[in-house]
Amino acid sequence: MENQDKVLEIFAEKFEFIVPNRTDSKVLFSLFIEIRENTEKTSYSESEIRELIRKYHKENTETEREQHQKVEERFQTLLRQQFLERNRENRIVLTDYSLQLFNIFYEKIQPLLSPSIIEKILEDVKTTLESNCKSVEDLKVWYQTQFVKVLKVEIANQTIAMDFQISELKNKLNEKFKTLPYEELVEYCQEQMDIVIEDRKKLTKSFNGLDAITDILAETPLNKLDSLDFIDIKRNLNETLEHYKYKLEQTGDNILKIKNMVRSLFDIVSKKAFDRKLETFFYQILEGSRTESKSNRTDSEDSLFYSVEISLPDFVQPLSFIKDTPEKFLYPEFYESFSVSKNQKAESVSRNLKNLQKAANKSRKRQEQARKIESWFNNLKKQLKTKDEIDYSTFYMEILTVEKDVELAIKGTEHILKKLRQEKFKIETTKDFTIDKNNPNNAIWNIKIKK
Amino acid sequence: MEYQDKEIVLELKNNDFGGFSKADHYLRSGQHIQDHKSQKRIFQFVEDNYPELYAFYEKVYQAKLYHFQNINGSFYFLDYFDEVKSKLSKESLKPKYTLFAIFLYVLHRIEKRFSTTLSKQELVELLNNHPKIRPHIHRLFLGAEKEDTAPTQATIYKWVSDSLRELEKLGWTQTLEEDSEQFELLPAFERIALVYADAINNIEEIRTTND
Repeated sequence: MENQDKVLEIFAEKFEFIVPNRTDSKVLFSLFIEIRENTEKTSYSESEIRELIRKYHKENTETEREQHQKVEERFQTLLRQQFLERNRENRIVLTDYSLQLFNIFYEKIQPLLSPSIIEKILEDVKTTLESNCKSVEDLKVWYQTQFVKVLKVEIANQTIAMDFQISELKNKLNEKFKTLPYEELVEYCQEQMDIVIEDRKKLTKSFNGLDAITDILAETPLNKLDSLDFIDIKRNLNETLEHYKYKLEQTGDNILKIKNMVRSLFDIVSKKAFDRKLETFFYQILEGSRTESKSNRTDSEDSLFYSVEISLPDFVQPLSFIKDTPEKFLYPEFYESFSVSKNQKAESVSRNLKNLQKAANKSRKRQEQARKIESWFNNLKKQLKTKDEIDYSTFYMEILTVEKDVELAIKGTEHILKKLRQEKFKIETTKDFTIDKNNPNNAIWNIKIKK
Repeated sequence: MEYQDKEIVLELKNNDFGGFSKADHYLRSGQHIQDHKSQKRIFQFVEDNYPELYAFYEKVYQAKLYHFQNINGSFYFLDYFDEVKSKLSKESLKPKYTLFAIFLYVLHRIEKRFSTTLSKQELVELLNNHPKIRPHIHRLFLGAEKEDTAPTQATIYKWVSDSLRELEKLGWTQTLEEDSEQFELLPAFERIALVYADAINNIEEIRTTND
């Protein structure tokens, strides 16, 4: 693997929460890479492992004895934490747990940007979708096996790869900014930017191809069945695609920011003298700062830490900002001097009272509706205790006739059907609808509720 | 006429008083308003009404609505010189947060010029490992140079987190919605250079005087 040290560094940083010690992560991941690339080598001697730990454990201040102790400590920790184990010949191997874990990490850490992969997968996925979108059951299987396990994974990988490429670009530019002269820096930045922009264009093109899936689903006859499973699949799929398109847009924003900086390179470079002074200014402050108070803290925090107040040298003026208190926000002084006339104040009060009255009436109406809906729901539940099947359309018309309130009937239906679904009742909707002569302007799909 | 006793102090484009109440709240809380996706509407409001707002704050509060532009975008903030008797009060940032702000600015200008998004852990690592910075930070926050232990990490991490929270209130940085460990440097962060420009440009003289 190219740039192995760099990859190990990225790995150690990225997965610090899982493997907290960076030496451990580097040792384990380098073993994993070696095993992956050289399938014949599966086990190691203890001294090989110790040598590897020594390589990645760098602490200049240690004596040889201290270093020896640290290496031994790390080696024992890796065995104890079951990242490593001994085989029958007493040689050291990566545990199954380690192998599985690093396999997942490997996919994340070495993402290869290859937009054409999405295009190829998309072609297969489209073909299988077309042949599977005739029944909801087939579509469910397709969704799990093709979309979730194949296409979504690749879309996610490519998005990660794009992010990775951009962060690598930033690191490279940050480094070169410190060392290269202006002309070379501009040329280097342009070259690197062009590569990333070109890759992003290709990725955008392949992401746009994903719309074909949405189109196929929009045209399938399953749309007409009102199947909730189909609606769920369609919604989840569209949400996933939207999410990754949004992530791709974000990478566009990041590229734009870097592009703006590259464009203004001349301005930045011309201020390098200021930067040197700024650095001196900072170190001068650091040297001149003093600790005013320091105490150990063990209160609500998980671990002990020191609470410190410091003072800065006199030449650092305090950073002061306008901060008005909330009281002043509510009753600003200017309100008195420039406020509205008394007539207008009186009008505002009466208008506010009217609005309050309106809001109170609305709230009362909503509460009344909720009470009635609950009583209709209880009524239906009672009926369901004695019957195996109920025609909900008739029930709906009854609500409408008794309450004479369409809003209540619609809201009530939504609430009742949701509750029944939660309680695992079967709800079947057909394409026919019911009209009642008492309510000629209202119709409802025929809905059957079954136990 | 019924309202003749009124003096018109602020006439806004499209009578956008909703926009005004929000912008006014931000400005009088010390926030900077800038050309950033999180403040798009409010920034547009200030852009559209800048002359009116400028006159309003000057007349009513004896404060100035400043506008600055840099390569990252433009930003607005409210301020006044100490000798002016403004009706608005000011508060100073604690020295430890000021020190952090200066450190972050130096880091961005010199080491991470192309990175506008950074992580807290990245800063803790740097503070703990940079050969020129580490001794001072340990002296100030831990009493003396210490081993890399849990209290060491927690103390530095807490300083970084608390400081970022303060800078966020000013609209200088913003924690990422999708990852609270990461934050973005906003265009208004450049204000720190405006505040200390004189001291930075004259640092050699200051150093000689101090020596």
